[in-house]
Amino acid sequence: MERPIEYWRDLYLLHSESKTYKKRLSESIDFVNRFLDLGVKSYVGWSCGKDSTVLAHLVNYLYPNYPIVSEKDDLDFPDEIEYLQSVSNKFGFNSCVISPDVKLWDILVNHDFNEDIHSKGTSFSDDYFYGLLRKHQSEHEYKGVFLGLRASESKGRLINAKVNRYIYYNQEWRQIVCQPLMNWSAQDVFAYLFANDVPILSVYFKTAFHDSPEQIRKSWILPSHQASLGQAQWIKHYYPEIFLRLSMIDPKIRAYV
Amino acid sequence: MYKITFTLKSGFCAAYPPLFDSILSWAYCVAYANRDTDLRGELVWMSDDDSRVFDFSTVLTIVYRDGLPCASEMFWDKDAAVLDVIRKRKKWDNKNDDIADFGKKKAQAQINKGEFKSYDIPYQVTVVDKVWFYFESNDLEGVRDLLRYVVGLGKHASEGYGEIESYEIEPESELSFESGRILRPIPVAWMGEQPYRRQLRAWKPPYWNPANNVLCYVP
Repeated sequence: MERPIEYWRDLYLLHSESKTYKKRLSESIDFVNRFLDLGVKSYVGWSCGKDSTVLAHLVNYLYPNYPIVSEKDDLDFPDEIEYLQSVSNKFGFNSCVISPDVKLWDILVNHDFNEDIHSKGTSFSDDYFYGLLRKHQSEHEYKGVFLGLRASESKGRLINAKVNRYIYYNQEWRQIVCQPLMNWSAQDVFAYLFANDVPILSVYFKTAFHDSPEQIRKSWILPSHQASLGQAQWIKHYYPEIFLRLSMIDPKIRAYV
Repeated sequence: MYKITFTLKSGFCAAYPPLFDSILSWAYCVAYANRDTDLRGELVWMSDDDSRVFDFSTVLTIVYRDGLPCASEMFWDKDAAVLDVIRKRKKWDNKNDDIADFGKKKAQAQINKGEFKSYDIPYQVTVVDKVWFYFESNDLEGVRDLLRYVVGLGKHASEGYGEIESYEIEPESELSFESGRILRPIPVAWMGEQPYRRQLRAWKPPYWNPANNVLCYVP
């Protein structure tokens, strides 16, 4: 059910008073410091989603002017660039935006956006998301990265947390990864954002089909493999123009609404 | 002009308010298209050639003006309505495990794509007692005749959503399709700048055809 943002603010500010939240925050600060003690040239990966926004804010608060990298393109949510700029300006982020040199909407016709399109290993995201990050990383000789992944987001991330813990070397990417929020719940994330007066992307409050903002995941504005699990319906409800555009490319999306 | 008020037994499920002419068109198909084989041949729903698409204006007993049916979209008391979300689910049932028994052959039944794909789709349901439409007609009996086939309004009517208990038709003298009030989606391009709410909507049948979606003034 949709509720006013004030409702969520009150709820999550209450959570920000809890001992669990404070403990997790303190642990995360510790991991950020430990990672930076390694002296590796690194950046924060910031997608403008709730988790990476927490991380970008936290690292920038502890180490002002720390490099923050975002990948933005024409498949992002309509207000995302504006959001990125407003948050960057408000907190003085040292942010760098990288974008593909092609329009992804033009390329989308050759891909099935009702199936997984954003995981590592799928050609679309490898070419136009991870590929760009790799190139940027290599050009700037970054050897480490902060990622805002959380174990409770998926089974894969839970296994990642259990196997790799908070700081590990990723052989495939040849970089050291620090994931200080691994132990956080979605409640903790919103509590941090409200407690620190960090703006939150509007998509998280589009909850007509969800019980709370915690259930909303932000990626490209494509239904992906979540199409049959309500994502297509959600896009149709909140972004009818985009749904129409997608249905002109592949009418199959209409089977999920 | 007439106002038709439906009393509902259950909440209705619709992404956009249904249009009265679309309900009558559907009723017409149920009533005649399945029986009349000649007609079945004529029923082309979607074509690049507009002249091939079946023209319901020739068979519905409502008035058409400038090619648009004088039939409103559905209205209801939004303050009295209660919103709820239902979910339609399909998932693999263990009783079907024999389908996935391939003996020694290496194979699998995929539940994330293809014919066994699971789904879990939310739909917003509006629970309200009464809904109403406005329409112009020169043959009320023709309208009543088609309404015999309509048991529910909105999506999933066959599952009991939007079930109709009764309806009542009364003359409406205060409103008209020419009174300036928007009663159905009308393309912005037709009216120029007006202080009405805008939405991307289908303005002519078939309303499900994405090609018919343009920026419209809506009620």
